[in-house]
Amino acid sequence: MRKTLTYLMLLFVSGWLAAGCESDETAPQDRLPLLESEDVAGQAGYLALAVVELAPLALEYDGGKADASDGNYAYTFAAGGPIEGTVLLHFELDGAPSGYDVADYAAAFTADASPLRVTIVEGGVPWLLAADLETDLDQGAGTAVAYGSGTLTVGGYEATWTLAAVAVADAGQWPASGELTFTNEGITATVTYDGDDTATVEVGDSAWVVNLNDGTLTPVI
Amino acid sequence: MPKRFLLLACLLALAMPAARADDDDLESTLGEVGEQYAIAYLTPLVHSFGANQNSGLFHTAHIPRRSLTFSIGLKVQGAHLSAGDQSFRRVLGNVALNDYLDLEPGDPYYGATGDVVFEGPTAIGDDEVEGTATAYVDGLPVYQEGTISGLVKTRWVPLVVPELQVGGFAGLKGSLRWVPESDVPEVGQTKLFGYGLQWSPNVLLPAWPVDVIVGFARQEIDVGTLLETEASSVFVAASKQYGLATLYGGLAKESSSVKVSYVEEFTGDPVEFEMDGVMESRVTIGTTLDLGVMVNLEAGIGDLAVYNFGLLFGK
Repeated sequence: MRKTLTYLMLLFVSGWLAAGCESDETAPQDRLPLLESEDVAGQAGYLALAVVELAPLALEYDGGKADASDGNYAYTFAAGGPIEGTVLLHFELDGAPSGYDVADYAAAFTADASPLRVTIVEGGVPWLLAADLETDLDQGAGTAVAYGSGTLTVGGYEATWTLAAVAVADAGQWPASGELTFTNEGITATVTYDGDDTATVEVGDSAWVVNLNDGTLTPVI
Repeated sequence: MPKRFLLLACLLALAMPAARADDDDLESTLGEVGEQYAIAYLTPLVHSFGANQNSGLFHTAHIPRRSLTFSIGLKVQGAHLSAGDQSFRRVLGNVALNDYLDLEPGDPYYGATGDVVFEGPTAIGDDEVEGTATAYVDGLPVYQEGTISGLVKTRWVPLVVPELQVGGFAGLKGSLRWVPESDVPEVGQTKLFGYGLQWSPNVLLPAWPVDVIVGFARQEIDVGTLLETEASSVFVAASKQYGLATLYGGLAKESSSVKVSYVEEFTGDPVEFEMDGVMESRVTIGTTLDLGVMVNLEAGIGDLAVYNFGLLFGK
């Protein structure tokens, strides 16, 4: 009896020890390449281009581009362009849902599982851009102020961004003012719009000018 | 017929991770990628090969001084790998992109320098998800190509080996693991050979309360021209019999290596590399039940957790 109990006890301890032991990981799990300030500034610069397209969407929406669905309007970028995908638009007037042509407020956002695909480099990996923007509209003046946030997937990097008071106008004008803050791998870049086809990108003490036509970055000396 | 059965059992277990529903084998899968990708992709498999081979080397420390013992049977080993081993990411920094990607002259970024990121399932990872090789230049992912999927999604890598042990002379016991060299379709010439020797100091100190052995073992497995494995172990173990059950435990220092050879399809170049197994020592605990046939259960714990089931006829 005593031997049997000893055996059972040892068997239990053995099983407990065995079950509690896990194999170490052996497959390599390297970190993605470390980003430098200029890398993040470059990414922020390209995002600034996309924001130029996104921020005035609610202002420029004419209702002819897509049908309303589920109370939201949908704007779909043309296939084959640098931005592909659909942005949903929700219009309000004095806090109540309204048509797009009378609204004083609009939300512009991408559906959770359907980020925009942004092609930066021909043949490269499209960036995945998720956006959740709010826009105060002045349809009489043809201006709007956009703010909000979103995420950006750049290859294996997961970045976040916020938009603060970006003043836009219809008729293809450049954002007059406002800031885009972009953070990737702990490095934060701030893009400041100033009304022309360039914007300033700052990371710490370093600064660049980004050409909003093509994303080219030029250091500020 | 028994010989064929043993061969089949061994090879099925060996080839299991290499089997795919579409009949692709490991060699043709690896042919789609270069050396650096293959090393990362195979890492968990390589480490488990050696860990498995060095399992189940003993199932008791009792060796009679002058009574011949003989046993024959099968040992089934399984390395239970970490869930994290089902995927990998390997980063090659500041390299010529066309050295690692299928870029040709005239392609954008041919000749450029940047970072290459290989990531995706390992050989034991998701067999429905393809890995990727991505080139980054100045933080921008400028080029990407699909690579290969996992072979079989599993955390268990098994190995089945036949084993024969003869002992009982001056406290010595010899063991043999052997499958004759055979031509296996889609695998090639495949063989298994291993041997070991154990000695029990109880022949000199019979009053010890437990049986003790010291021993070593060495094994080789060749799987076609693709894999050549070597494994060796030096161990000390003790056991105590309780009725029909024998409880045992042991400590081992071990090493293993796997040599991989294949031809990369895109370049036509032969690829050859050798990797050492991660398992360098282990603690073993186990039990053997003598039910007419001996049933043996064992856990070996080191960098990997390896389990062994043995079915042995004889003593």
